[in-house]
Amino acid sequence: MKAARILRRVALTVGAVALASCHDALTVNNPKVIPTSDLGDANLIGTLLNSAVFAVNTNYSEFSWFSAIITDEALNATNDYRSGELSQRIVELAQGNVGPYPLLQFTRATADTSAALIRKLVKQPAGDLRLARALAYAGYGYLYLAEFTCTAPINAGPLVTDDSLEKIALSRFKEAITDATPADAGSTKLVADTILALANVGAARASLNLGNKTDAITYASAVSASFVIYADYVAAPTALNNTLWGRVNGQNKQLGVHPLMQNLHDPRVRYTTQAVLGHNQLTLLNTPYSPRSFSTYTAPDSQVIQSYSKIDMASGLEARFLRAEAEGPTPLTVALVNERRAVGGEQPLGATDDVMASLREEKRRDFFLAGRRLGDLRRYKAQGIGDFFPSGPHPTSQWGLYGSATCYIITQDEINSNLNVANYVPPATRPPGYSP
Amino acid sequence: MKIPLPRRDRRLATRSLLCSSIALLFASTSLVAQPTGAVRGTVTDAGGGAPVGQVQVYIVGMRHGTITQENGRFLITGIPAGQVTVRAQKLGYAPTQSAVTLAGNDTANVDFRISSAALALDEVVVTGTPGATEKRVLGNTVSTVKADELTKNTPIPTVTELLQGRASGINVTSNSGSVGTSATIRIRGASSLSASTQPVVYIDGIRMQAGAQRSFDNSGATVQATSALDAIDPNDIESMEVIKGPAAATLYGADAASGVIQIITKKGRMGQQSAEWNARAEYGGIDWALARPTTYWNCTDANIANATLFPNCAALGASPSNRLLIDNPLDQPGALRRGNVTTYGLSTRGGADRYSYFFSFDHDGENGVLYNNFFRRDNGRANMQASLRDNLTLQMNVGYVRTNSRQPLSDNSSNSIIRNAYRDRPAGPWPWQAEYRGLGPAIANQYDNEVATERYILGSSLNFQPFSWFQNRLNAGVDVNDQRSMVFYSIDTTGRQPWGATDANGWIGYILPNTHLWTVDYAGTATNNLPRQLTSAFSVGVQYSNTQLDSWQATGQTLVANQLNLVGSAATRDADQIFIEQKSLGTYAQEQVGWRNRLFVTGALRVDNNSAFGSNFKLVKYPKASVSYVISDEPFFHVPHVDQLKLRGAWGEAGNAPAPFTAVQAFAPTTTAIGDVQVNALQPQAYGNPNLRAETGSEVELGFDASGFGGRLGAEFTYYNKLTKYALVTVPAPPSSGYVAAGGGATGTYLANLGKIANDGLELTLTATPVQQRNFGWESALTLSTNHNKLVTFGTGFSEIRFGTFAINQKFAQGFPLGAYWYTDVVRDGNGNPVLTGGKMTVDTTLHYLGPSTPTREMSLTNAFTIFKNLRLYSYFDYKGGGYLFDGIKYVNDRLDLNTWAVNNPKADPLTVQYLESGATRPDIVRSDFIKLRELSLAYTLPQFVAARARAKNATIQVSGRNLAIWKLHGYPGVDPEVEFFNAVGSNGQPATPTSLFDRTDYCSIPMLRRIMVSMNLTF
Repeated sequence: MKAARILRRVALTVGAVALASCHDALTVNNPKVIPTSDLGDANLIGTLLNSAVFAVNTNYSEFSWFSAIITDEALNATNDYRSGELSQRIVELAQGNVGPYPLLQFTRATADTSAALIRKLVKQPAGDLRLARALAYAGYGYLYLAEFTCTAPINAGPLVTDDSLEKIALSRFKEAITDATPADAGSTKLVADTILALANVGAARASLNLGNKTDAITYASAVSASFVIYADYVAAPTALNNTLWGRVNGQNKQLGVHPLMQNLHDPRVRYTTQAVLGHNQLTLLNTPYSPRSFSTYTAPDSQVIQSYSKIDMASGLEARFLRAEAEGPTPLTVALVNERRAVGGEQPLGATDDVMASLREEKRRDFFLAGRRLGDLRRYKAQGIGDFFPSGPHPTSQWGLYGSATCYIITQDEINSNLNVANYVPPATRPPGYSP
Repeated sequence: MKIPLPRRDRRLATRSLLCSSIALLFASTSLVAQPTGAVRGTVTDAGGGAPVGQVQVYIVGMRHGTITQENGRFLITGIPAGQVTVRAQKLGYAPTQSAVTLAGNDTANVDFRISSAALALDEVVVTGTPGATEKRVLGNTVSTVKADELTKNTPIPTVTELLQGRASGINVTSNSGSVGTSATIRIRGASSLSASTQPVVYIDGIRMQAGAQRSFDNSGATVQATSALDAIDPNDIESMEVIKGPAAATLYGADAASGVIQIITKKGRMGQQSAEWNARAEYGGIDWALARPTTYWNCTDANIANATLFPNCAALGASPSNRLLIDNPLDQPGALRRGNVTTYGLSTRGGADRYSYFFSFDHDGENGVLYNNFFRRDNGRANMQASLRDNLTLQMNVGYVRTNSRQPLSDNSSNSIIRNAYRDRPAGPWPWQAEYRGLGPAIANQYDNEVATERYILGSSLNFQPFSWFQNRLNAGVDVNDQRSMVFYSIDTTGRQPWGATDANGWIGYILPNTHLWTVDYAGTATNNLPRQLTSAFSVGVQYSNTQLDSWQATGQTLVANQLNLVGSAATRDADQIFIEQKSLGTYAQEQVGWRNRLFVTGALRVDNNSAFGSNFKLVKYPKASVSYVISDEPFFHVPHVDQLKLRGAWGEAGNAPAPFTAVQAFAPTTTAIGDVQVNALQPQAYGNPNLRAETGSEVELGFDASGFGGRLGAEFTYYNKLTKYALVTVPAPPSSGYVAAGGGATGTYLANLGKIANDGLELTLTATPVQQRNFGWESALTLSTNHNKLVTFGTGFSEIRFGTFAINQKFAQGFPLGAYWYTDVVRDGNGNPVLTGGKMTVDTTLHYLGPSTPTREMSLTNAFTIFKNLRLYSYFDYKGGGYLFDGIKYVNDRLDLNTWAVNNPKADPLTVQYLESGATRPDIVRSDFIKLRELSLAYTLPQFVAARARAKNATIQVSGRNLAIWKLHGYPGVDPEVEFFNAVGSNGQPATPTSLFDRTDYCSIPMLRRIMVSMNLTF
């Protein structure tokens, strides 16, 4: 009996100590992350704004890559055959995450979440340029998703069309314009002008993609010709590099100028004349020098794409192209085309030249590797202007024919994790005679 | 009057005194000796007559005892005069005893011949129980790996190899033949999708880190992970106890559903009275004995005409007689070398009445077959025990290890010479070196990736018995693993940037994951005699563990000169830090009732909490119950040839806690550039799951232990059935939520408690002593295990998750084994013939089930022959079967590189070639069954007079080999069906991707290497 009493005491003591110490003993901290629930601090507004910018910067050079390889801008010599398929316009679920979909969603969601969090934290949205800038970046997040994919879900919802995504993008741009406009005076005017221009270029682009040319002209007209904003990259750390640098340098080269972009004799589209074998040991590459839209571009010389080459993500020149495309072959359009042809060392348009074709040609040169080409080609095709996607035999002859993809698709991971898209079946894009 | 000790014993006594003075630092008592009589003698093995060391010889009912030396001799002094019983016992042998009458000042001679025990019900285990418990009490099976015996038979350099095939139900998959790399250990199959499927490991009661250790590279290059478990030197291990599932592991709580391995290191024994020194030296060679890659190219006319893409074909000219090109890249000078192993060690163990000690130092150096592959390990161990009072014992164990490993690029690395040899196209062009697709050895061997660790494992164990009925044990300790992973790219001198643009100007990077794991473990047991010959043992316990990972990273880019390769010397520098903490607290109570020492019923309940549980989930409870019945002790038991029979059954639950902070939805800091200015930002980091809880494994095991034929035959049989509920599944966060890796394109993930996973199987261990003669002994052991694994249900929503490397060919699918293989085939007509469209086959992307990706049957057979006392031949055959493996490199070679014989054979059937080139995975997922001659050794114990010339009591020389032969039973086309594609480990030590625990591909890994060793072992 004495034994039982002692044992009971020991057991009770052990249990009591264990339970009493439970709360404190299990307290842990992880200074590497901040719980989402702790983001409601007004001191974080500046950081959240940076987050919206980060969302675009961190992936923009990859957007340039993905836009280039599926169009007529670039050849892809990545060793991963699944990536090679993308540049053959074959887009399938089996390619997993080698496509841009996760990056597009990261950019969209991060920018949009940042904007939403800032909206909760600012006292007066009207005139708050931090909110306006974040909203503009959020708009671009939706715009990229719309231009790169034909259909995609938002926040684990059902699939929505690219047009619906364009409309959301447009709504973000409009909100940005609304919020920035009250601040477009006095000491904040300079900053507000930049944000308004950023939002107006995006709104013009989304409007044009939606076929609303009147609005596109209105928004584009509001942008100063000298405006330009870059996706920014610096030499260090590596995480802030322009990823195209690694793709065109080193022994495992991946990116070369597409034959359809070669022999233009245009300073805006320069490349190495000595072709080298790419990473896949199959594709001969003429690697590009810094194109016009990169900060390291210089007209008389050929500058290697650098880790710190910044990329034009929105500019007055782009607004002029958007306006010209919306207006059609007006004198303003002709003037723009001739201005750009002069930059490229070409003769002015002749009387019988197709102004709009020339406009498209100048735009692809001016925005070579700047992430615009895929959106442009999809718009040209969707609006009946023409199908300018590369087709027929692929320049890497062993691969056979081009497929028929005009956009990227969601991934198997999205299907696995989002019950709303569980039944998604991607369109067939394989060319005849192709086996995966 | 004292009996004068012989000269040798005096020398031993002197050594003992020296060691005693060290040990006395830890003991609060002094030697006590009252010699009145002595017993001396020799213990030999009944089968073959070889002397047996480390046998505990003691006087029954007294404190007097000792341990035999390696020559089998022992001496016990200070025994009160009169009739005494001398008993000899050792793990794995049947105890034996002899009565002797001692007169005062007399020395009696007692020799023992002990026999291997087929079944040792009185053997004590310490794993899965509150305290030391006899096996007869346990309702579950505990496998004991007798490391001390095994390391005597053959050199075994790592704990991983020590475990491989030694006990039923333990699956050890070596991922690569590269020295220093980790293995995957699973017990009774995979019981989890995403939580650890590896057992937790304790060393002398202190939990230790045993998983894969991440290497570091700035470009995601594939380098095999190194092993934290293999920091322990097998020569320091006395034995290992393995409990295999929730039925046995309940008392370990929320981490033990995949089993528990307890490493018990060597210790001195109180009463040993003398010190024994052991010196060991081993040297050997390592070579790639299996097939090496051979590549082919049949030059067509079109190839010969295209000098740009097929220069070596063009070089042939138009000669039709010389069109087939053949390369053997790894046979070139400079590709592979003959590796080597050098190990040596020195240890001493001893003790006196109130203290004991074991000290050791070991060095292990291995150079792999690739020029930039090595592994070094230096470790020291000091285990000391002191009896502070008659009822209070303190054990202190200190282990210190330094390891350094350099790993080559392998697997899917574009710059690996293995990969570039396999993917060579003899037609060229070769951008860097003849016969290599990319970098060849000249540059690839410069790759410098090293993982160094400095490891302290400190443990203490206090045993206090205030009353005869009340036993307390308190274990406390810490495992400190300070790791330093480094990668260095020297400044490019080729002008061609072989390592890429980022590294061309010199790049140095370090990551320093420092992991500290604290353990506090209390157990108290009160025993009580109840009426009707019943006994009771009631236990309570508390276990607390705290794991902290503090990882620092620093990188530097653009160096001034190669010798100035500190991060601080670089023009641009970057730093990062990770801190992750996980704490666990569990308490349990257990009641064990025995009846006449033959029937035992046990019930227990453990309650756990863990910092990784979600905010909506608090405690988890794990019950257990077991019964053990030694039916052979019953008077009615009379079964011919059966000596002992124990029936047992157990049911229990244990858990698997989620990884730290996986429950919390969170953002992480990052940076971005605005203009040229770097600014702070935040990015989505963890999707989180507030409902996260530990998964629960529930297991039933039934079986029996038996011995017969006078102890010459033993059998252990177990059937188990395990069900994992609330299975932790790493599922992709919907990319549309934004929780994806910025810049990397990898999908973000989160943990969810989803489904149910079932495992069942049989385990059988047979031990036999077919021959037991004075001059010839033959001992044999056979282990056999089966495992059937199935994902019962995903839970709500999911139907399957598909994955695979190079092709989607594996699934988590309901009703099928986890990560099983599914194949694609070409479209076929009703007769099974491929349908040709425009002369081409078309792949049907429908996935068809093929089979499991891990073995479902394993068998090991060991035989030991002892001839004329001194000669011992040992062999170990290992069989794994029932699984499939995707020969990823053949798939890629056939389809993309077009460099295999099958597609270049001029006489090959064009349809067959087309089929291989089609991309259908059916031809490349193949049964991986194999038998390996894993170990073969021949040991010769020198005659005593020869050993004596070296002043040794015992001297053994040995020749041994490992991985000597392989038989692929179903013609697996790859070199080694045992390898595992890059075992990816993320920055937090967790699997790098949701499926990397199950992703099975044979792709350019280094096969298991042959090792031939000679060794010498001296005991003084």
